[in-house]
Amino acid sequence: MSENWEPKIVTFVCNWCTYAGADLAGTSRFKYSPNIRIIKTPCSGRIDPMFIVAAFEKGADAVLISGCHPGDCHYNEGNYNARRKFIMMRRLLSELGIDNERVIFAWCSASEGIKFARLVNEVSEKIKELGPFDEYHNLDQEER
Amino acid sequence: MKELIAKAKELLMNKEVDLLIGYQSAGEKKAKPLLIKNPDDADKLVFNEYCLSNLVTYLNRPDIKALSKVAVVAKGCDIRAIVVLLSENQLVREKIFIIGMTCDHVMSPDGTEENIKCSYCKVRNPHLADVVIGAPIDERISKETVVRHEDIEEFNKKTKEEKWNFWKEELSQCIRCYACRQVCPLCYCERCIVDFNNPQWIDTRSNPRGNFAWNIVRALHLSGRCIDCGECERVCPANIPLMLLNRSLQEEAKDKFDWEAGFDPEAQPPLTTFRKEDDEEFIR
Amino acid sequence: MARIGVFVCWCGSNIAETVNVSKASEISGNIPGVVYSVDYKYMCSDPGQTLLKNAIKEHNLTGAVVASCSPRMHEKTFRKAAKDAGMNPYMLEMANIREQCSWVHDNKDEGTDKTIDLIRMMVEKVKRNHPLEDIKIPVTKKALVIGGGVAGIQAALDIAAGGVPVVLVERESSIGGKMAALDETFPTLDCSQCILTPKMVEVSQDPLIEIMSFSEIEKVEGYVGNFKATIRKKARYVDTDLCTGCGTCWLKCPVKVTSEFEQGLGKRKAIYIPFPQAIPSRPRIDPENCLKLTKDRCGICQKVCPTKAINYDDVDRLVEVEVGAIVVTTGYKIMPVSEFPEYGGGRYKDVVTALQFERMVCASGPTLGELQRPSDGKLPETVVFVKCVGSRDPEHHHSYCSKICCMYVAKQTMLYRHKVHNGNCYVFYIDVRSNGKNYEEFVRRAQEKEGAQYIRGRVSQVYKDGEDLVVEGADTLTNSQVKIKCDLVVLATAMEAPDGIKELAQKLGISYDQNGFLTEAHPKLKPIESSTAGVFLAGCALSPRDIPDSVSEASGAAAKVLGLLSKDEMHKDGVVAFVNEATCVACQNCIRVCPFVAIQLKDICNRKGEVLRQVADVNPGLCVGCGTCTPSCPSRSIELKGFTDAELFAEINALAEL
Ligand SMILES: Cc1cc2nc3c(=O)[nH]c(=O)nc-3n(C[C@H](O)[C@H](O)[C@H](O)COP(=O)(O)OP(=O)(O)OC[C@H]3O[C@@H](n4cnc5c(N)ncnc54)[C@H](O)[C@@H]3O)c2cc1C
Ligand code: SF4
Ligand code: SF4
Ligand code: SF4
Ligand code: SF4
Ligand code: SF4
Repeated sequence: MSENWEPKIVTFVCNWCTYAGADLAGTSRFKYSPNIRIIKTPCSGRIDPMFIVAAFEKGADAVLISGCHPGDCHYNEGNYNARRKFIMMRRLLSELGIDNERVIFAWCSASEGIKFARLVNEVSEKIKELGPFDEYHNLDQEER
Repeated sequence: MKELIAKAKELLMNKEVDLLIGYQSAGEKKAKPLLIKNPDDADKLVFNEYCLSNLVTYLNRPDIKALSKVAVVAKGCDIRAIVVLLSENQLVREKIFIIGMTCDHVMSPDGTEENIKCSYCKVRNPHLADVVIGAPIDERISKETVVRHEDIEEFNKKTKEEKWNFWKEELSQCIRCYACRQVCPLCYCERCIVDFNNPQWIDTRSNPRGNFAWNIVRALHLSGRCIDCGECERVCPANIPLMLLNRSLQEEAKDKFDWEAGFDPEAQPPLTTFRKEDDEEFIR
Repeated sequence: MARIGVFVCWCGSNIAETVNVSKASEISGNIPGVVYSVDYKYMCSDPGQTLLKNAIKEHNLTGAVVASCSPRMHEKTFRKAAKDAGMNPYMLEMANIREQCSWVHDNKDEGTDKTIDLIRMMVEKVKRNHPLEDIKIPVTKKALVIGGGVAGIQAALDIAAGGVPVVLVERESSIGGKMAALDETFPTLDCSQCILTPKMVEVSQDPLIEIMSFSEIEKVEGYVGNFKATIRKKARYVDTDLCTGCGTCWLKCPVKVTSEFEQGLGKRKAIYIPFPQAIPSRPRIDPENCLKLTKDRCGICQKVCPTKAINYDDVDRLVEVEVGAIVVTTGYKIMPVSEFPEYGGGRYKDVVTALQFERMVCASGPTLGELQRPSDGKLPETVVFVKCVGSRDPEHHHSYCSKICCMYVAKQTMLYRHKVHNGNCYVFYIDVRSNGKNYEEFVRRAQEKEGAQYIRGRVSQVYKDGEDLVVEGADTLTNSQVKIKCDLVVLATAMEAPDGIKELAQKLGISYDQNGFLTEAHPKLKPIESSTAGVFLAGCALSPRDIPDSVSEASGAAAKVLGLLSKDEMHKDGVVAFVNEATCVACQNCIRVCPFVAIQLKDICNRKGEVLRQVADVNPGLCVGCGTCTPSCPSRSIELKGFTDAELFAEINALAEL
């Protein structure tokens, strides 16, 4: 781990709650760690669990996924469907020995700018502790 | 066996079915699939504890789907695959004739001991069959029993690092032959996600990175659907313990969604529905 | 080849203070595919937009990335500018470098690096974007209103006032709903019929409104803008076109049966209109009690009818109507007293529902407003009202509050005292909920000026003592048991979803809650929309509420309908799902997860019309672009335009270069 290593955290959010929550964090000038890159989707229901794998392959040290709180989904049910997929994905990843702390799920509403900022900071701190996810990144280099 | 042969002859003779899929002997302690159209060939049919393979996979073949009616010899565990296929609109019930075999157990692929899946089988007496052949067998465990898989319990004693290293070792052996997909009765996609190249979801080279992605996606796609036939693991030339992944997701489906695949063709598959009160302890 | 322009905005100092915008623009210029990059003080200003437009034209751009504020702020602005310059608007994306970067970070180097990453991600996405077209859906300019209570009446009138024809379907033989049966109404005590019947007449006279009474919905097909409803016009045995409503038939009919409208307290004939002001004022024959239809005797009505309108061979008829929008206003029903034997319900005639009480005091009621108790016609000198009967009682009945009982009980105590000036009236209550305009004052008036005596507590039992009823209950304020001898007990029984509502909801593809009330699309932001586009809800069909609420929702629903039908075509943005028919295997996963029932199976046929196979088919009119379907498809045969896998992967892949 080099001295100035900073984690890369890929964040998938829904448009209506968490994206708006992140905007609110911005308009409220809540400072947070610059380690995240947000990818916007219409709904947490659009987020494919395999995006997590893709992000790890491309060098992410952690993946943060956030949508509307249950009952608040702009599309009524997208987040409920997503929740089931994430349950399965989590179990599978932990079975493979992938640290569940590197895959973080959250509900964050449009009014929870402060929650969003705190979440990013907490996750960022945690991943700094865990270090880079070299095990996964290096799979690439390993030959059979 | 006599009863099976007689029934097969009757079905083919009366043209009730165009094709019958069953097992034939493949030498001592071995059986292999038999596809027959001629009633005279029915004498070759066998059924015994070496009839491991899940013949339901054949029902997905386009040439077989095109036939007007097909009979299939199926154990209770195989019928679970039929149930999933029915619920996913892949089979038309009227077009298949299910010859259900009562079955106490089959042997492990190497023929030395009872197959582990049979220790927790709940369908020794087949469900949903058009005809049941064989004497009724005492079910060893009731439908309500929540099965805990010992191999998974054992596996879960490992630390994260041990698990990771275990799978890195195992999955690096994968040669991406896709036999696991070919044999799975539930992998019926016209175009598998690995063959999708815009974008490329899965690295097609058999390097560890691609192998991880492939085995993750395969297990995910079978989650809530896998009926525990064990065929994928049986055919894997690299002997990768794929059932460890399949079974842990079966457990998850049972624990979190109270779901076991392959029993009720009318029920909503768990990943296409939800309950408002589903687990969300893990969500911040 | 992609030719992409990158436009980095300073947002004054909002961005420029924490991000080195010129560096960001310079480095963006080196991203493969980017042919033009620039930074500018205010991209959203007119000169900024002109800069964008000119660059699109001059550099022949195929796509653009504006790195500035949140797309929630200005995506529309920039996409419109791009469109004006001849570029497909969906080929422009925004990198949110203000809310997600300059405003949340302090360090200029970090901010600049992140800005470049965000731009790179969007450039990669834009490279994969496809031009999209808005979806245009033709609409049928006609509306269907189901349920002709006050809510349905109001909705029909308002829609017609907007110039759109309406079909108003009511399953009873007259419109009017419950309000037609009420006496005077809180909080103003104006007479219900005096305010309702003019509206009913208006409905009948409006050339744009067609009333289909004694009719029910058989089937509904189609989708927003394009519904086809089949309506069952139930056999009425009276030709409503010939009939003039003269009333000779029902005067002459020899059969008397209990009147539903009078809540069982009065009589009607076998050929009847439910109440004198009924609309349409055309009778129907009740086939279960008509002598002609049951025993082939009598036939008097046919003989006396001057216009030969009676037809004993009438049958149900199905008619189809095509409409663009639907309003459901099916109202409620109240629990019958027989559900409450502990309160004497069903056992003693003098234990009545509040709706029966309305009829007992109503000047057009069975006793013409003379208050008489049902058992012996005696004027009740003491009346006990019991509130929350069946409501707020999760152990036995409903957990919800029926919301309006507090108010109508206060009203009924006044109506009672106006009839019986020195009568005693008691009210057993749990709470008094009077949260409406002038409602609290109204309740106070009942208690303080009009002499109603409120007792806080539940009633434990009602029994008979000679001619009198005795109500026994707890007074939780004085902590004592009370026993009240009285002549009449009025139970404010819970309001429930009406019969047949679930079947109707299923036909419409809308959802209902555990109590059978219809569910709104969003409890706060879409309170009168159902989960199905083009189907709106109003009044007690949603849950118990009073007339003002029902009416305002009805007007709201009408406004929604008029908005929807105001154009010849509906325009929706082009972000919808689409199916790759070559690879779809019709597993139905996507169909099962779609929250908007926007996907169906369709047959793929050969030239001879034989079905070869089935595939999923998205109705772009119904799809709202949530994308829930896409991850459910193992073979990725369904994708969401504007958020395709390739587009999102491009964003993820861009990270590899970070
Ligand atoms: C005792 C009592 C006293 C009240 N007093 C007052 C008061 O003083 N002030 C006040 O503001 N409110 C009062 N209310 C409340 C008032 O009755 C309601 O708010 C109002 O009637 C609701 O109107 P609606 O159109 O939603 O429903 P409804 O009046 O119930 O009308 C629904 C209509 O839809 C029809 N329908 C139902 N199902 C179908 C179907 N499947 N197909 C076709 N048609 C169908 C029904 O036949 C009915 O005509 C009182 C209620 C009660 C019970
Ligand atoms: S059968 Fe085994 S080796 Fe072949 S692709 Fe599947 S897991 Fe890999
Ligand atoms: S995943 Fe393996 S065990 Fe499960 S159904 Fe497919 S072949 Fe059988
Ligand atoms: S692995 Fe997935 S995509 Fe491939 S065939 Fe199986 S279910 Fe279909
Ligand atoms: S989920 Fe995919 S394969 Fe299944 S029906 Fe939908 S589009 Fe077709
Ligand atoms: S994008 Fe959403 S609304 Fe559209 S078809 Fe898919 S699931 Fe249904």
